[in-house]
Amino acid sequence: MTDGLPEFLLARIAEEEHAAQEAQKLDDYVSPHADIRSAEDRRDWEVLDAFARRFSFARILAECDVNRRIVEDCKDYLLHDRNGLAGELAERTLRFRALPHVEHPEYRREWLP
Amino acid sequence: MNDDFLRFLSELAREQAVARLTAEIELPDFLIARIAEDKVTALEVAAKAARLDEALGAAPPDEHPWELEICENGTVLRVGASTARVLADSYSKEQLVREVTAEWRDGYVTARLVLEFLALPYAGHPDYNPAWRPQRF
Repeated sequence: MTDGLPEFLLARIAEEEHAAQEAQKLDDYVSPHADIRSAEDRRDWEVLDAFARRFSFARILAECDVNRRIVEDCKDYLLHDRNGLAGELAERTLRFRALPHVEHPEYRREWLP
Repeated sequence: MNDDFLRFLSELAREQAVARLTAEIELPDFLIARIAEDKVTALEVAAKAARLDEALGAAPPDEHPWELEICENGTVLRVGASTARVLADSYSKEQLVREVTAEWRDGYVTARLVLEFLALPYAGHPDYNPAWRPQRF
């Protein structure tokens, strides 16, 4: 059963999008302890820099956008072809996209893939 | 073996080599490669979390997923996601790609759309094929 799953996912996507948008508005902040002292510090900084660039807020917001479109399309397929292959694929897709939220209090075990 | 047969084999090998080099990357393979890169980037940070906290005075992304800021020469970086979130999301996406690849190869529209949407955030990658862009974009 996937009743409530699209709505659960849309709510999580909206939360994530809101958090990313709010965080983008924060004033720039300079960490008082960020101090590059050694080659190892520099390597650490480069690792973080790569992560920060790869997972920018723009990337997260783009992910939210495509995730919402996936959920909306899957909702349509479930509505119009619940017992066909399209509906079955849509259901599998929703179950997998919900996996990262498995610890959320509103997540239901019946949604596990 | 006569010379004609050797020439035939040589030509066949050359054609196969060219075909391999010019073969288009398939969408599922492209996605699996990008997801693997995501995971490696996150795992590198996760492995250094304790040292980063101590040496740079920077909270690792898992503690403050939306607010990590590192400063070097006045540059402030903001990270959009926690490493734990990235790893969980990557696992989910990887499983989904593997689940629907067979249907994608068979041309099912649902599978095609799902993979095309999943690939959109990577549209700036040099291996991204514009033909993968969903029709409504």
